[in-house]
Amino acid sequence: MSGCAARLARARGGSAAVEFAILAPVLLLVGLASFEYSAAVRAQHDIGRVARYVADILQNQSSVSAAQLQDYFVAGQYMYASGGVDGTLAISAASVKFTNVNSAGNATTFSYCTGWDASSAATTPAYTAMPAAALVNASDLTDSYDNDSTIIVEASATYTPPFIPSFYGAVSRSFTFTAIARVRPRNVLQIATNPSPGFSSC
Amino acid sequence: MRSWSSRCGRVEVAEAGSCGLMKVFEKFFGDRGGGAAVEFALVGVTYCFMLLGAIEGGCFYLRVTVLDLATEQAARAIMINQGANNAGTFTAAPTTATAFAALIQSDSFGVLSLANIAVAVQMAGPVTGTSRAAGTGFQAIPPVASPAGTYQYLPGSCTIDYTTTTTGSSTTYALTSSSGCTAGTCATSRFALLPTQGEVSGGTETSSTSGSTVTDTYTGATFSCSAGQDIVVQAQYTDTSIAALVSYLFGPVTSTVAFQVEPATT
Repeated sequence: MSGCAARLARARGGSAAVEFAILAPVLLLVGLASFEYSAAVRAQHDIGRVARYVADILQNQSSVSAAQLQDYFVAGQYMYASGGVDGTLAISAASVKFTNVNSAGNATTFSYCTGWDASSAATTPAYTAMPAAALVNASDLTDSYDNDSTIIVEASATYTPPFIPSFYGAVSRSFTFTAIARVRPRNVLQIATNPSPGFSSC
Repeated sequence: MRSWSSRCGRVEVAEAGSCGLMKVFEKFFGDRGGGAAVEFALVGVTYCFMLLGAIEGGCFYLRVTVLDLATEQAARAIMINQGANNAGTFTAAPTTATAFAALIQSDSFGVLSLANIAVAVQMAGPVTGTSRAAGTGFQAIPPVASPAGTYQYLPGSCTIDYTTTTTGSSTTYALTSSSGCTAGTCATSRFALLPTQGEVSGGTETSSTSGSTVTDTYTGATFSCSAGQDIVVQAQYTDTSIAALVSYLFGPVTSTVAFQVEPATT
């Protein structure tokens, strides 16, 4: 056996094949990664479009009902699904009004009555009340003035790369893309929520 | 002339036959000359495919991006009832599948060919009154999975007579009569939206003044009620270039835009 091992270690034949065996997986990964990256960039781009268009639709409303919100969520799903990507889409939105100016002229408080979350792969999303202040940053207050109003729409989705999981089997390689769009309401200072189950009327 | 050693002794190529067929093979496989050429013949084909594949992959994503952009531009033409292509040429809002596909093509920087663009434009149920009934919005639109010239966007309009009464900065609208305004196309109840959405145009105007109040009477005006309609447009591009292999792997490129038609301007 030691003779065989020594002969193997000394052998110089087939070195190209051995080198190829070492490099091929790396090359293959790099090649696939270039496709993965492009696909992921497109998924992120799609999420941005979903947020923008749902915000565009919302800004024309004076008030929204649960049925309308369902519609807008479905609209977002149509747009996200067409990119060939899947994963659970979630949309959160709020129509926020800033008030109570301080001595520096900035708003100190904000209110919203139309916050909602929707997250479901089904065509009929289940809505939950939005977590308080989930979409409003502290800097929004210092950047805002009395009666400033904004609609904040956040769309996010889990994205699973098409190639990588097949290499790693059960190990999850999913990650989440998030995009935020902001617009001003056109017709009213703040979009009201029509009284309906799951929403506090405003 | 090449020569080499074998069990037949040192022989010339021309004399190879004299040692039998086996000797020819032996000499052929014993030959170390032209190795690079043989290796290139084997690797070159693969390499060319990989290089072309990389280029095609880039072209594929270029088409994906361009289709997204062009579909948004064309959808926007419906949304705001007028459009402008990338050359800055204003166009009317498309009302046929052919016109919609042509608008996408004109916004594609020449990357997409018209023959390979399939489109679907689908509208939810009409808006009646000042609010939408449940279940008639985007949910009423079936998933547009197979765009093939489907076009269900019919901008509704009818003819009305109306008056405006202006006192100071306050204007009120009143419907006098209507023709062809039905719930399925353009419900007259939507006239209540006029102060904020201004969906009326044209008509013969007659003006009268009484004190500080100005009354304008419009006859034969066009009342358009497409504003607020929920629309989903989808464009699909099937590649027929040499990138067909890439398309085969990834399928046709599809782009979808969902939006509401904006209020018309007066």
